[in-house]
Amino acid sequence: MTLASKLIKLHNLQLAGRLVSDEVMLGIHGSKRTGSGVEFEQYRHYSPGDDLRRIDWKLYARSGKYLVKESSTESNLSINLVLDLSGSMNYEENGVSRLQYAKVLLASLAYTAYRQGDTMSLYGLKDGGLETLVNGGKNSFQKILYSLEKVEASGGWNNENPRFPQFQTKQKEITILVSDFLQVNDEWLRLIKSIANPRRQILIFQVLGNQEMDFSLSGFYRFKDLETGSEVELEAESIRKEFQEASQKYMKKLDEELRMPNVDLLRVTLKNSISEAISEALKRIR
Amino acid sequence: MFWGLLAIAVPLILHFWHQKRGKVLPWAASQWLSKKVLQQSRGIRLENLLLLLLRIVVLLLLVLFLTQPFFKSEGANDSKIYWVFPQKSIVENYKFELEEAKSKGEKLFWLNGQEIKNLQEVPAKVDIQEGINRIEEQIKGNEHAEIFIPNSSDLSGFGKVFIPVNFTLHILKESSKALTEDYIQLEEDNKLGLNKHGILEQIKETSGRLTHSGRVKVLNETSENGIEASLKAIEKVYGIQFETDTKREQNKKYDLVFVNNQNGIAAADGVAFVSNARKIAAESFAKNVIYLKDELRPETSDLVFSGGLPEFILEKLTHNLGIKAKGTGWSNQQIKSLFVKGRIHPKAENQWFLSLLFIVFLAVLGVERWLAIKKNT
Repeated sequence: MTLASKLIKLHNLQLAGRLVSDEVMLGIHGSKRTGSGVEFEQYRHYSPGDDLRRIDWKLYARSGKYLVKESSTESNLSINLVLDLSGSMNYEENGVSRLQYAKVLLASLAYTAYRQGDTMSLYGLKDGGLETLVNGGKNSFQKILYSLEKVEASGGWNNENPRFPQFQTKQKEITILVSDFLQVNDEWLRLIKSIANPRRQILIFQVLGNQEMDFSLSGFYRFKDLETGSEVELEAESIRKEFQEASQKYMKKLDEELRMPNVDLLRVTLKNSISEAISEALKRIR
Repeated sequence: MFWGLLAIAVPLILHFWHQKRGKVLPWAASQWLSKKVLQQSRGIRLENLLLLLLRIVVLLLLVLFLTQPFFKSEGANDSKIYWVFPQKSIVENYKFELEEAKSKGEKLFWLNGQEIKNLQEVPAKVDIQEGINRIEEQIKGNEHAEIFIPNSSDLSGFGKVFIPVNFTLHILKESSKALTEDYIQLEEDNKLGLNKHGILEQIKETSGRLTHSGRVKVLNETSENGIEASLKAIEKVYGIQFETDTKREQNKKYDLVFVNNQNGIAAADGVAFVSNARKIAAESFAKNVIYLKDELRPETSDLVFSGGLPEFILEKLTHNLGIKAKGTGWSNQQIKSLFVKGRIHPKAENQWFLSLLFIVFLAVLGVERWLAIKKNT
């Protein structure tokens, strides 16, 4: 199990993604499914039952053998990776920032998807809008890694009526959203509801810090909001109970609101191993 | 007494402690931070400043209430009060000052407690302490007393005199007279009399009269230990032997009587002390009866507290037994040492101010609490 903090220290998303992906794929045989497709894979001898149309007649003319042309099966699954780029993603705990964690998580997912041959796109949620960082297509994996290295988080994300053409497609796809899901007034819930669709499976990784989950701070702190910059001075002990109650209430509410078909919420903390989180996610993918 | 003012530092320190910056923590989940205990962290906190001021005022009022500095003020505008020893020569000597004071409307008293209406009518002499105690009931406590007394034999009969206010002594020097050589016969051929300096001690030879001999008979109807102890002290130092009864025996002549009630005094008694005589009837000024304002306890009586009781009793006793110094020729220093500034009893007239101070204190405290609670909710 590779710790998130160590992966982040690598400063190499490709390697980190590969390491995590390898860990996820551990024990899974690299046997490929073959079938019809554009990309050539291999020839094999005709066996009864094969479609006659798939025999390479030109090759038969040359060699007199019935050989069937095979290509690797093309997955028609399209994956949308969506990264929250609001300021709250800069939250840091024990040297691991939420954004770094999300980047490694996404890179690992991308690597896994790349091995499967799925098409991928990367979007960033910034300033109330949806930015297309990488559009699906050839070499999208490399582009995604490159974009992930570069992106930075800042500002808030508040959109009263989210409507994004990028999500209006009719094809079957998986949307993976990595966010802290800390909302000011239900903006994330509205987004999820607007993009929810029977053909689209939505996987939400809610990445939270340990302090955000159970608030074990003690002492006098000046809490500076990462999105608005407003400061609040508080004695941590005096608000612990209320904070814990409020956070538990919110989590419960989220769980209830997101109990929708095709929507899965995965809650991970910055201490959780990324590979475990991905394994968990892969189990949910139908 | 004003050290209490340092307590003002407490809210000040608290105020600045609250201003102190906490460790900055970048935080994402602000929505869960309780709004109830939110504190503004920047800018001048006007409301807090108001609270700070209120708290300082509360402490100031508390300190003022406890120390009551107003009643001990010794300002120049204090009214003057004149106490004149009832003696013709004094009135004549200080005629100018006294007439002027009278024309200014300032208070003049004889030292027996009577107000001076006519300077020509000099009353009979009485005990200074008693007179002062009577006057004390009529003064506020912030006056300055001008006391006119003669330097004469009449003073040696008094013990220490406790004056409740600040005072200045004006001593009229009189030509000295001869000392009395009368004496008291003690046991074993010892004699107690005045030496050539006018101080009481055991003397060997004297040409004076014998005024008393044998044990001094004492009646002590009070249950004060102080009296017993005083008598023992006198016995030890001067050799006077006492014979103490706690109940009056009929037809026995007592030289020294301590009672709680002036009705307990018989006509034949020598010197009588009436303790706890807070209200003294004007006509009760009998000869040789000393009225003490308080009970003879260290807690209540300055006389006992300062250890002057034995001396006081002795002076009265020997005076009554006939050993009277005539024209002692005491130095002014000696006379001055007789007059001591006693405890101040704040008068009822100041009580309204105290209660006003207390009410204001409570009101400010209430406002402070109300503001503080309102701010926190």
